[in-house]
Formats: sequence, C-alpha cells, structure tokens
Amino acid sequence: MKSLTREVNWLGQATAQADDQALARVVRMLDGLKDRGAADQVLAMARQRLRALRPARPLGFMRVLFLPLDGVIIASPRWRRGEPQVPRSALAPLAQLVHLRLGAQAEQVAGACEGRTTANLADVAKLGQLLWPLAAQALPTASPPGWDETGLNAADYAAIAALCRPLWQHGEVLWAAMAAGPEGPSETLARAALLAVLPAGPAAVTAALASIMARAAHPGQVAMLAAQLEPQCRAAAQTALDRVLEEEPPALDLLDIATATAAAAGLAARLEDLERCSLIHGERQRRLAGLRRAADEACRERFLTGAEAQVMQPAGQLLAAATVSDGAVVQLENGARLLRSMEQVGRRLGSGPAYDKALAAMTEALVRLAPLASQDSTALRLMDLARLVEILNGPDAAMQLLAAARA
Amino acid sequence: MQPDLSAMLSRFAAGRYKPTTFLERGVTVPFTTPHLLGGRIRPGERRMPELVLANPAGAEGVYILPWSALPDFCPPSMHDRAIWSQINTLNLLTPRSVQAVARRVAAEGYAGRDAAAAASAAGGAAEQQRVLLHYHLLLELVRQGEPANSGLPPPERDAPANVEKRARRVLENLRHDNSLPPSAAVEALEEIASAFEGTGLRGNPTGAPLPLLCLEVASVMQQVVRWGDSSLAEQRHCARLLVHAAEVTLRCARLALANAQAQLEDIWALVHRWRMAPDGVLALVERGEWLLDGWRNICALWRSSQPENRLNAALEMAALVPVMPAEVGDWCGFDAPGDMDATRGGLRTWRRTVQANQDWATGRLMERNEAIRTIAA
Repeated sequence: MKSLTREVNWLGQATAQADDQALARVVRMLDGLKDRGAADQVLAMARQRLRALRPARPLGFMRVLFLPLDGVIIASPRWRRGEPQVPRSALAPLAQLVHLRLGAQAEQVAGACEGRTTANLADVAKLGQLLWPLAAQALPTASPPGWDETGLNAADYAAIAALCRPLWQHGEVLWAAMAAGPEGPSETLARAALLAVLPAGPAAVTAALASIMARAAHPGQVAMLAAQLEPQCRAAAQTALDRVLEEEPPALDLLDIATATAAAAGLAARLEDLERCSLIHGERQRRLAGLRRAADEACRERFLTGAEAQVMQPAGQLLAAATVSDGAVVQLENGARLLRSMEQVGRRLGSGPAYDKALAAMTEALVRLAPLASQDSTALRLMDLARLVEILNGPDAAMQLLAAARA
Repeated sequence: MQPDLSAMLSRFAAGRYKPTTFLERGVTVPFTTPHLLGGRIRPGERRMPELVLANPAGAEGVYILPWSALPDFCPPSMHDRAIWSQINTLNLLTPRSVQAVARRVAAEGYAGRDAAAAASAAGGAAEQQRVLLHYHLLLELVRQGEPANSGLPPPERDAPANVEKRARRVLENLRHDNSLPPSAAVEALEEIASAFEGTGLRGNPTGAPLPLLCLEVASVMQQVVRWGDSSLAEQRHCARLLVHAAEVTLRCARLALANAQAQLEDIWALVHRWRMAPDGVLALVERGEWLLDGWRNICALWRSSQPENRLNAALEMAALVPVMPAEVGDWCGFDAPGDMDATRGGLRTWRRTVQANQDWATGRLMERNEAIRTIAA
C-alpha cells in the first residue's frame, strides 16, 4: 500500500512537471480509464495547472451532470458546512444515484457521450438539455444508502441536493451563459440564467453566479448585473466576488510560454473588468490589488525564465553550432515573438518599466554576442541576431546592432 | 488607428484620387510594416519620389507623403528601411525595378530566412527565365526565317548549339546592305528576352511570371467565390466585388499580354523596332506588369490566411485592390477604369460595414507580412 502511495506521489509530481502537451496526453489517458481509482490523486497534484490549461476532457455521464455546478465544486477538505458549494467527494455518489434512478435514460446520455469532449460546447448543451432537467427531478429528498461513506452527514446531503436541483433544472440557460464566458457573457444570457434560478433562493443564485463567473471574461459585470436584480442578490454577488478574489493566479511558471501568455491575458482581462466593478471597494479592493500584484509578479517571473529558455540560451547554442538550419532560426524567432506577446500582456498587469529593462538587457546581451555571428548562411548570421533584436526591441535597436557590427 | 497617426495623415490626404497614368498611381512596394502594407512609390515633383498610402491601418482615403518622410510616419521594419533607402537610388520606377530591389533586400535576410530563400529562388528563376526566353526567341526566329524546304530538323528538336548557328544564318540572310549585323541582332534579342521576361511568349512555354500570375489570380478568385457562397449577405457581397475587380483586371491584363506577345510574330521587325525605338516596344510589354502590380500581394494575403480568418483577409484585400488609371481606357476597348472605380466604391462601402477582428489585426501582423513576402517573392 505504501508502495502504491509512493508511486501515486511520484506520478503526481511527474505529471505536475510535465510539459503542457504531455500533461494533456496524461489527462486524456486517465480520463479514458473505466475505474479511475488513484488516477484522481495523480490529477489532483496537477489541478492548478489544469485549471489554467483547461484541456478538453472526454464527456461522460458524471462530467456532463456536474458542468452547471462547475464553479462551486471544491476539494473535499476545503468544503465548509453552510457554504453553497459541493465537495468533490459527493460527486460520484450523487452521479451514481441519478444514474440509477434514471436507468435507461441515463444509459442513453452515457452512450451519447462516447467520443465527445468538453471542447464542443454545443454537444454539452445538447446532452445537458436531455440530462439536467431529469436529474433535477430524480434527486431524492433523503440521503441514499452509503452516503456516510463520503464523510458527509444526511443534513449535508439535503443542502447539497438543494443546490444541485435548481442548477440542473435551469441547466440549459445556465450553460448558455457559462459557455459564452469568453465573450463576457452578454448581459442577456447572464440575466436569463440568474433570473431562472432566482426563485430557488440566494444559495442557488450564489452558486449559479460562481459557475458563470468562473468562466467569464467580465466577472465584475456579471456580479453588478446580479446585484441589480433583487436586493438579496447583492449579498450573493459579493460572495461570488469574494470567491473570485480568493482565486490564486494561474501557475504561469508551470505552463509553456504560449499557454502562460493566454492564461495571463485572460487574467488581465478579468482584473481590468473587476477594477471597473462598483461592488469592489475597501477590503475587496485591497485584495484585488493584491491579486494584480501577484499576477504581475508571476507574469514577470515567467517572462524572465522564458527570456532565458526561449531566446538567450538557444541563441547561444546556435551561435556555437557549426551548422544551423533555417527551421532552428525560425523557431528561435518564434520564441522571441512569444516572449513579446507575454511582455505585452505583462504590461497590462503592471510592470512596464521592468519589461523595458529586461528587453534592453536582452538586447545588450545579443549585441555582445554579435561578434560571434557568422557570415556563412549555414550558421547563425549577424542578420539573424539583428532580426531577433528587432522582434524584441524594435527596428532602431536592430539597426544599431547591424551598424555597430559592420563598423 | 492611433489618433496621432490619423492627425498626421490628415495633412497628406489626397482627396478624390484619380490617377491618369500608371506612373501617377505608383508602384507597389512590398513593405512588411503593418501601417505601410499596400504602399506605393511614384515620382513626384522635381523627380522627388512620393509615398502613396491607400487606407493605411484602416484609415479611409489615400495619402501622399514625401518618400523621405516615411520614417517619420511610422517606425519601419529593418526590411522596409533597407527597401526605402535602396529604392531611392532607382532611376526608373517600374514594377520590375522595384521588385528587383525588394528581392535583393529580402535575399539579405531582412524579412527572415524563409523570405530570403524565396527571394533567392525567385531571382534565380528570373535569370533562368531570361535564358530560356532568349533560346525560345532564337527558335522562333529560325521558324520564321528559314525556308520551309531547308531539309533541316525542326529547331526545337535540334541541339542548342545548332539552333544558335541557324539563327545567325537567318539573321545573315535577312540582312540587307548596311542593315543590322547578326552580332548586334543577337545582342538585341538578349535585351528583348530580358524585356519580355515577365510577359513570355504566346502559350507561355517558358513559364513566364505574368501569365502565371493571371492563373493565380483566377485560382484565388475561385476560392473567394466558394468562400462567398455563404448565407451571410456581407460575405456574398464582398466576394462578388473582389471577384469582379479581379475579372476587370484579368480582362485588361490578358489583352495587354496578348498585344505584347503579338510583337513577337515577326521577330526581325521587332529587332529593328527595338533598335530604333525601344520605348514603344517596352510601353506595350510593361502594360501587363503595371496592370497586375499589387495583385501578387492580394493573392498572397488570401493564401496566407487561415480559413477562420478569411473575412479579415478579404477586408485587407479589398483595401489593396488597385485603382485603374484612366490611360487603360484608351487601349482596352471598354471603360475598365470606370468599372473598377465603381467596384472599389462598393468595396469601400462594404469595408465600413464590416468589423475587423482586432486581435488578428494587432497580433503577429509583421510575421504575416513576412510570410506574404515569402509567397509573393
């Protein structure tokens, strides 16, 4: 048993450190297992990265069932009684229960999930339209046998079931708003979803808000919309905002540069939107500022490690190489372009002068390397270095490098 | 567009821009700086060149700036600076002379290794084209000048060395008194081959670039038609206008190429005309180059775009469709300039109604423009 734990730990650590594509492959493989067992523990160690990566996951009965509750599912140890959230340990028993009660209809949904992934939002909508209203009806009032194995008591079941029912009942409109998250979502979609769950009470509104806001490019606008719906929704909106402000910035250091840039850009857009949200002031404003600071630092750190890994180190290696392929130079330039994209996002997060300094330092280092450049087109040439500087620091700096080297 | 750029440009607005000649319209310069895409150079007053910018960075209208002001207008890429300074040294502004400069600059690596390789390959292909064309002219001369009953094999089946000897014999036979000596005629033929490098011969046996460009424009427009076969009215409208602009251009270009190639039907007479008044011959030959100038980039824009970005590509293509100068109407037999003017007006209106994808526009445009340099080398 001890050996299994050790292996799971080792696998978990390896997974957490694997590159993005390898991690996506591991996730795909583990998702395909019939009995996941310890696989969930392996994935738990990479969950922070998975949140940022959001790889497409295969659709299954349980995944489709709980997508409307995506924003309120938390690790079991973090679950607190009375909070409108669902502990991860409750998912499997609830899914089994719904599956059992729906019988053939559940089998039909499970069968239709075959070969589909979360990447296709329309597929999710289609399957959810079928499943969610039935699941809302199927959930019994009393806890099912074996519930205590989840570590939760019967009263907890009632609270969790009361949260699931309205979100499943109105899963279709809720999912429409969640799926449109990258575009806002629009006020129309968000309003329709919130108005649908409103009669179910503040806990349901808070949960629906959390699910919408978790995927929203403009969470602050969604929160403000919710606060204006009904007086009691204001508290729900503030609770949902607190959750957003509690979020840790994506682990940019664990993501490759392109994914890290996309994650940082998404975060920058969310922060800019939250800063325009009138519900955030006082302590929340301080937390928001802290979040921005943390994101800024993470982005800067990732930029600096990227500068070394994407540009300086490969440039040094290519300069030392006797022959250099065109492909290797194109890859080096791509690395520099990715870095520039990250720098532009980083400026949105706050550290303009730091990036100016870093880019100037990189330019200086490349200028120092210029005498090592070759005239031979089979090796790294002066023009290749100049183009690198042009990508990183603009044409003026590049022309200076050329002029200095040719003088 | 940045507000300061807009204010700066307003001083150079050209109002209703209706050039009468190709030279007044200017030659396309294959810039890579996004703000300069589609920019042209033309001779200005006192022979100082001018930069003609149509719809720069999405701004409506045509702006004419002194060529020397280019670096003040926006920070040009290294590639564009090199082109900017080298074009300044050109005595003659034609699509071919500008293309030669652009290839030289790209071959140095200013637009990246792929563009350098493409430019070197295109330069080599042009050189080969001249040699091949010269040989075909000799073949044609032999066909036209040898008696039918000479008993010799058809020149295309003979060895190249023999073809040259037979061509010299033909030239010797055609010479009367003090007329052109064969050596001078051969030299003239070499110059003619160079002049006809773009146009090629009827049927294009040498794979000359302009007839191939006509095929490329037609092929891209077939794709545009398929893309335009959509439920979106805007998309249909845009495709129709782009295709129409291409059709008008191709109709004129094919006529121009045919007229130029017709000069080769009597090579001896052409050699004489070339010796006496090369400008008249060149004027006919260059029409095709001028008519198709700019379309290589338009096609490359389409080719370099991903299917999901076709609308953005179409927007940029619409902005680059060249104005047809009034002089075309004098020799093409229909009101091509008026037709093109109406089509460009439609494209302008369409562009105002379509929202560009800003992410795409601000993303990696320079890289995309360098890819265009590679495709359109």
